[in-house]
Amino acid sequence: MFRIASILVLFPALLLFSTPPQAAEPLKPANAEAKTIKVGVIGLDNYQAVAFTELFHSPKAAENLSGLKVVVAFPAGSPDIEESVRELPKWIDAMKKYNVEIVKSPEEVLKQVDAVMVMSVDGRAHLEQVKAVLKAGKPVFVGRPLAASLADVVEIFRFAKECKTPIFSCSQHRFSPGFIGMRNHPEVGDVLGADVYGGCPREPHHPDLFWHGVHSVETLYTIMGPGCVSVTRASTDLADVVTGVWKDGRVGTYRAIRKGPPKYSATVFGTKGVSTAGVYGHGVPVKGVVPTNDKYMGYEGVAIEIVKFFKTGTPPVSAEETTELFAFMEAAEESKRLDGAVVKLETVLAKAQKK
Amino acid sequence: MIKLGILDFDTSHTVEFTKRLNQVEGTPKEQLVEGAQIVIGCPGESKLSADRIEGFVTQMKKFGVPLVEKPGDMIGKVDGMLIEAVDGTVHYERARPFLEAGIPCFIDKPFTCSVADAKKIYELSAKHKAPVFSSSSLRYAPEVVDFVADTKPGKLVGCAVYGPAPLSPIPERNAGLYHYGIHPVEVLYTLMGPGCKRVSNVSDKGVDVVTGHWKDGRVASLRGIREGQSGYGFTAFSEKGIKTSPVGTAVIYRELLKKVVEFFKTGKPPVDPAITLEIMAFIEAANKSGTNHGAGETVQQ
Repeated sequence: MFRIASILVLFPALLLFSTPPQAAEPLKPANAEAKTIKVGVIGLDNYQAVAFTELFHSPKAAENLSGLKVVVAFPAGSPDIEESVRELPKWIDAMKKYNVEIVKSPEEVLKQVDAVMVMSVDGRAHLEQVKAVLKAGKPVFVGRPLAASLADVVEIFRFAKECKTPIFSCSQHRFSPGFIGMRNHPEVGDVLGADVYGGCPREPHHPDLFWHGVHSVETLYTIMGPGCVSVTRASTDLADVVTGVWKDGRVGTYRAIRKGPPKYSATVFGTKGVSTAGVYGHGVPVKGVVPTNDKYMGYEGVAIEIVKFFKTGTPPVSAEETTELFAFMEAAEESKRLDGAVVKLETVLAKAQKK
Repeated sequence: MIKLGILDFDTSHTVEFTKRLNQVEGTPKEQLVEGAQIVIGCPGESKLSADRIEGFVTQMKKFGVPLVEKPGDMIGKVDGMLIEAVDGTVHYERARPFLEAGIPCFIDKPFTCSVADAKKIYELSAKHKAPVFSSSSLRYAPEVVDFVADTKPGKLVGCAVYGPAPLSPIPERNAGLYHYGIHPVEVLYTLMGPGCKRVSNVSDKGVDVVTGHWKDGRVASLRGIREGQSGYGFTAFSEKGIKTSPVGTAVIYRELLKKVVEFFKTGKPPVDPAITLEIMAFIEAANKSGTNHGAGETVQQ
């Protein structure tokens, strides 16, 4: 189905260039082009769509970043989110520079592409945007946060299953080498716990942690793996500390920074020792020394995974793990409402599934 | 020279402190502390680690410290006492005769194992004008001291401290975090200062993770580790930056003993008793929360 779509779109170009006598010649690029996965973007109110396009379109793109072309985008935005209103025009212009066609509806995007990246900064918008993509049977990567409620997350994955269409979503922090590299760090050994921290400004239309906290919760899951059973949360205007207990007795925490300059990192505890994690975008530390002059991998880490995902249809993060991560944040919201009481993930999950 | 007595030899501190204060031969020069000497000791008793006493007695004899059988025999021969018992539940009883005799006491960690005992000690201390000082040596680790002295990061908004927290072999003596958890808790308080109103402790076989909520809105956490390898360390979240640092233990006895000498010289405890009392209350509340699946507990003094 994807292939038919791409050939249809390619055809006018083929006709133009294949008129000269050596008809065989232009077929080469045409064949190469046929293998290229055409990607559409829905949502342009933040930098990530441009970051990914830049990486995919780079003439120097390595093997693990090539084979994708962003061809069309629908500049969805949210009028009630300040960042969205402010940023949208800037990124529309930037996308045009990469020869991405800007269209007036998501439907026009879906007509032209093999796969879709939903990039709206507003998690509330994702359910509707993603459902349309899944309905069309296009594999979809969804930028963080996958949704602004656990109920929406549950519904998105349910619908994806129903449509038998691959989907994956994560914060770009998941594939930052200095975080994912802590899972088997030689100085740490098997991970027994992690204290993750990062910036967490609030946004009135998202539960506290869903907006930016999701980056660090993603880091916590990247380092600890899934299996959290319950959380408690201390919450003030200065900071939140969420403590999660994993089913095997391990404990992970997330500190949300709201005062002072944020930094995204962690301390990781293991069978062999304790080490600080890297900082976002950079590699793992050696003997506590955190690299910052190595190659910046901020968006590149996840971009490589998106390429792989669109090529294979296999998501690098399971629906179960992403759902749990949102259940963690939802349980943290509930714990705040209950003044720090212990809240089980299965309780909030059951509630969300009923909706 | 200040003359000190030392009571209860069931902890290595007895030997380690004597080596440093008495300039015992073979002790590395950079570890020595001047200004006070252990002039007499009483091996005492122990319900927690009685088997350690004999070995330490042998060493103390080698150091040439005269030993007596009864604690009371030291009264009249000393300017101050080091109450060393590893078991915090006996500190009130062990310190009592000395305080009643008006003798200043350094009481080793854990100061007590309850707020009630801590109050009893301070009441006795006030009544007989015998000052009392207690602290974990981790308070004086150079990385901790240097961080607190540094004004560049601005006000501390919170911190995450970690350290080993093995449990006492006899749970009713040095319960929960009183046993070794006191060390990272002392670091936590050195960084944060007093004012914690509420704690929650997620306690499992391998770990305790305590979150403390200060009344000015600051939040700090503590990870007491029982499974896996760990030293001490902290991450400090300040108004102008974030700093992560391990905390070394190489010179912490020396640094504590300098403060102990200063205490006996001046009669003023280097740590405000109100802070030490709050630390006892913090641990008491954390232990309670830990046995109650992390339910919030008020820090009650």
